[in-house]
Amino acid sequence: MIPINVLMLEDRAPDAELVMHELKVAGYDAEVTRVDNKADYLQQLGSSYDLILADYNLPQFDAISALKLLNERDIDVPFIIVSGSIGEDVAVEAIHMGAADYLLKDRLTRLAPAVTKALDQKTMRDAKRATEERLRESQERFQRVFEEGSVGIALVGSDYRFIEVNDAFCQMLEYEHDDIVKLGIEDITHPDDIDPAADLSRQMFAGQNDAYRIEKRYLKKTGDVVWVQVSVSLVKDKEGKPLYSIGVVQDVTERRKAEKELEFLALHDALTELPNRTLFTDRLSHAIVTGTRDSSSFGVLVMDMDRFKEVNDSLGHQAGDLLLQQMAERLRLALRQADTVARLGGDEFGVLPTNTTSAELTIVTARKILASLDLPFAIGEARIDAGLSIGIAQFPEHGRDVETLLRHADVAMYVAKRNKTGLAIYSQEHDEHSAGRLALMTELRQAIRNQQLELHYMPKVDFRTRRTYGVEALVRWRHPVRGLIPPDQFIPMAEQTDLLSSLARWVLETSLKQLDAWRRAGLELSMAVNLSAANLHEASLPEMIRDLLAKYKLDPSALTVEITESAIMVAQADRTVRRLSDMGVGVSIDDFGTGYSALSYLKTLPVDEIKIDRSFVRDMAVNPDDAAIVQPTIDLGHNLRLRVTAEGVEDEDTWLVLESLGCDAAQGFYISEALLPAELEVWLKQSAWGIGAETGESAARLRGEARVR
Amino acid sequence: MKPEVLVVDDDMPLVRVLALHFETEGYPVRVATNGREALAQVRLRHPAIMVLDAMMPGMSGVEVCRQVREMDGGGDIRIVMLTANSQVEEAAKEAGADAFMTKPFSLQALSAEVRRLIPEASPASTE
Repeated sequence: MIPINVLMLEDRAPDAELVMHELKVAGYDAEVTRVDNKADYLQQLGSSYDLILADYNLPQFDAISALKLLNERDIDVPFIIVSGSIGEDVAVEAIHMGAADYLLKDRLTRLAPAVTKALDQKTMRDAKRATEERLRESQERFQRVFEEGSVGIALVGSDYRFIEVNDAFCQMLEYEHDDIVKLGIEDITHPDDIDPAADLSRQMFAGQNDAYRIEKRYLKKTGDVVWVQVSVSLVKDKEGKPLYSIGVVQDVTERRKAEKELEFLALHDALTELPNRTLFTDRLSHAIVTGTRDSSSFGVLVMDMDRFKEVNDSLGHQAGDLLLQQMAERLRLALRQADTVARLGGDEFGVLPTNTTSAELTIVTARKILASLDLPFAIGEARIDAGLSIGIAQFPEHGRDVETLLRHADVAMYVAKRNKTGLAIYSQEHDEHSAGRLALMTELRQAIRNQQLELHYMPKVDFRTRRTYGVEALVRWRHPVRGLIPPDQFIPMAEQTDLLSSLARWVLETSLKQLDAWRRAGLELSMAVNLSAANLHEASLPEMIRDLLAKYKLDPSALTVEITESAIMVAQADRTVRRLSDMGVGVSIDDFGTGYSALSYLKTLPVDEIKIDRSFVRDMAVNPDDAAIVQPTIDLGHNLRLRVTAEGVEDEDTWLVLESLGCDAAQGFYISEALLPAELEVWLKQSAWGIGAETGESAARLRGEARVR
Repeated sequence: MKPEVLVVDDDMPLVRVLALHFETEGYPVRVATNGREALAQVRLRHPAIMVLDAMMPGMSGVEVCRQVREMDGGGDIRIVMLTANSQVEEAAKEAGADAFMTKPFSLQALSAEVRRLIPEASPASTE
């Protein structure tokens, strides 16, 4: 049974009964309210009914009047006339006024279908009204967004002329609304951006896409440029024919500016605003591509200032900076706009001149630069004569790749400097540098064989016990002619040859053998050994270390390998480091703080110790900038559960400051220089820093601490 | 997501240590090593907080601070100024810095200052 609420306008009760019966038969559970006059009818219109059934003729009232009252009040209830007799013209008028149906009392079988139909129609009317309401709301919303929104919105026709734009759009372009709607898109677009945008619009109106997004420049009424991001979508009619497009326009000028600025800064030197080394080598490699393609030649100039260090030391850094800025300006003025002038670092500049198709022409350019230095530089009160030494390399005869060209220009620059000639062009005889290096490497190979290398041991002291707990092994070369050569003068060269691996093996073998000897003599020390990037690249290194530890029956935790930050960044290094750490060997980061890469590796690799570079430690007691880095570094190390060791501790003040900052260990001349084994044994007995009863415990604790993670 | 931190100092070693420290505490971090770069990063990223060295060659941190305050929305950025002495502190205060750390400072103190300025930024566990 379908429940319905019926208002019946009927003066005769038996007729009402009949109607109700008929509804019940048809399956309606009708709740009927019967009225027979205008006053009662009006009162009932206040409540909600599903259906009105009205007799046509009542003593003082009629169905047409009732329908009229319903319409006047704008009430939508299905209205069916049920009458004894009704004329055709009246029936037409009733339907015209909105009656759902009419029927005769002697044919009530039509009642049920008529009611069902009227109720269905009402449901449909309600749904349509709701849709219309939603549409109206959405239109209102759009209107509000359009009128009050902070993004620019523009409606554009298929002729690319504006149909309508909002206030935000006008404000962005500083146009009056009435002026802009007279214009087309091209009138306000930057000439260089018209074509790409127009292509996309054309494709859209041609039906190839429904929307696109583009960044382009608009021109304000004043002619100023606004960078905008425009999201355009197409509005179509019912048949799918394009009507117009809607563009949502955002001002991205600030963002573009910031991006451009960062891009500029990444490729330029902040002090002189000249291109930096990155941009210079990029331009050089482009020139090489062009030169190779066209079989043409060009020159590269590398130069540095002759007495820059003197200026810096005597007049201070600020004067040095000013001089570099003025030098940059001189170079710019001496050269053509198309020539690249770059600051390669420090007081070193590079020039990539155009139109230097022969070495002679490159030399002319170099002379022009030297001539521009004839007038002294004015730095404050001082007048400074600053010279340059220029090295020249010519493509392709002096090199066909960036690295070779720059290296050879560098070699020529040193020749110019040494001979005080101002400029020099590269020639192979100049390159005695490489010949000398070759000789030294041959000697080093023999030195390893002939036992000319020695290990010196630098004591490491624990801050808590103030006792030595371990040593760092440092290699020295006792050259028969040149005397004692420190590692920084031969290791970098060895790194470029296969010698490095035999050198590492010799250092590991010698130091572990020594450690074994000390331990058997009752000296419980730990050993730190330096490894370089190339060592970490060797897949066999961990096995070699394991074999050596086994050979001398040493616990892996007695050994720590020290690696620089840059070494840990090279390919494969992380794998080797993980394998060593898995074996139980300690991993220490040497010269910590001097690299340029992010430090995130400290979170991902099994590092046990960081050693703060001596350059920060040495001056920390006097230089606040150095102190400013040491304290956070110690804090960071401890947050990451690393042992923090200070290198280069040279006096008591530094020791005390480090102690107060919670540093774990130290090494440096304040404690001792690096010593030969026999010297160390004596020192350990005599020095206050010497080995004590706590040493073993101290070493274990420092190791244990580092192992917590 | 924690608020973004922009670390600005011409001292590269310090920048690296501070960057890893804030990363470890779970903040997204950006860095800049001079004033212009800092301003460009601010325009691009609008960080929640800046740790800014007061004394840098070229454009000083004090000047950076002043310009940030003049930007649209630049007043919302919390600025901790790293200073070497109290004279600079006076100038930094005028430029609109919210807090100061005198070099040398501990990371714990710096983090505490950051948390004080953006209370919703208390660090999550890093493990």
